[in-house]
Amino acid sequence: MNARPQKKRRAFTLIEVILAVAILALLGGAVASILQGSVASATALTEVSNRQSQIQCFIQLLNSTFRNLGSETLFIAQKNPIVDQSNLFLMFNNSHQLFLWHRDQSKFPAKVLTAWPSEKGVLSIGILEYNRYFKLTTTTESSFSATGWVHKIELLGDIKSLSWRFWNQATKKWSDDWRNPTQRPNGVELTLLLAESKVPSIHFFWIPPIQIQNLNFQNPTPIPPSTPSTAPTPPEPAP
Amino acid sequence: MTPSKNSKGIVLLELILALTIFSLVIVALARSLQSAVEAATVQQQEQVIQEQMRSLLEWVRIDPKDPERIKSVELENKVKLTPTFLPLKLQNKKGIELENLYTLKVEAVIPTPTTNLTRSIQITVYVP
Repeated sequence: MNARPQKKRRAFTLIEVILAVAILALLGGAVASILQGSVASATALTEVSNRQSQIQCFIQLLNSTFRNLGSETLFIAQKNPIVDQSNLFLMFNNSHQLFLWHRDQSKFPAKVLTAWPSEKGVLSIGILEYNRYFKLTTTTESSFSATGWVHKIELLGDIKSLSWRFWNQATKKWSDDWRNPTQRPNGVELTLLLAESKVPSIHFFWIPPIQIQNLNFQNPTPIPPSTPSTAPTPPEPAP
Repeated sequence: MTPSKNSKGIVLLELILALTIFSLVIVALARSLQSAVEAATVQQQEQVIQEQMRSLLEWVRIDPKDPERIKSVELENKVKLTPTFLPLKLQNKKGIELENLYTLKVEAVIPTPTTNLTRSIQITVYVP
């Protein structure tokens, strides 16, 4: 072997290596912390954004529902006397066109918008679909009866608390319920306090002033109700 | 492969230079990600404000001639919502001016560190 040794070739010294590793660690640490912060904020934002989208969808659904209440739809809102005094039942009679789903809506003429406790200890709000019309007994002190809901559809979960108010423009007063199906409230206000929020959000929905035309409906052929699991029990018929 | 004659190790200066360039690129990427996150946050806040504008618009819509309703509302973060209710001048084909038509508008002024953003929604209402 006749290898010619290089003149100035030498290895790193220990000091150089330690210095390089120290600089690498410092730079790596700085970059990692910046990246971690960015990724964490992006992840948090994605979660909040998804949640916000759910809320927006729910609010838009309510908005279109109240805005498009037809003249044939009867609307009352009253407390459920059995399950929870603070939990309102918003009842829509003859409401085939409301809360449109993929199923045949003509089989579900009555719906209740209400909240129920979920497994996490918070509330969920959604729709109970009935295959029968509610029997509204009087015009001033209404009550309803139905054999039981057929479908329960959750629209929004993780709610700490919620409350409804109904605006009557004639009296210029708010009321906590709405018991007269021959009239409509002029607006509905929903106050939502979400599980991850400290400040309640208030949403107002305008309702078109329409003269109610028909209070008497005929029930269609009933569909056998599915077994209710965790939904609130509807009130019994008024004696 | 034949080793080049001038083959030598990486000197410390080269190593530091490479690492610096690498970290500069990473920092630039992280900053762009952060600015995207900030932009998304602002957009999300705008969505919330949009919903509050809609609520106010619907509240005023019930009785827009009530002066109590045509009042500015200040939200969190100094966001100000201002409703306006102005007559709308429209004519039909015969040149007759249509009456009782109004434009109901809600404008939001959103303060940001650089400038004030303005957003608005409006509807045309018939108020006899």
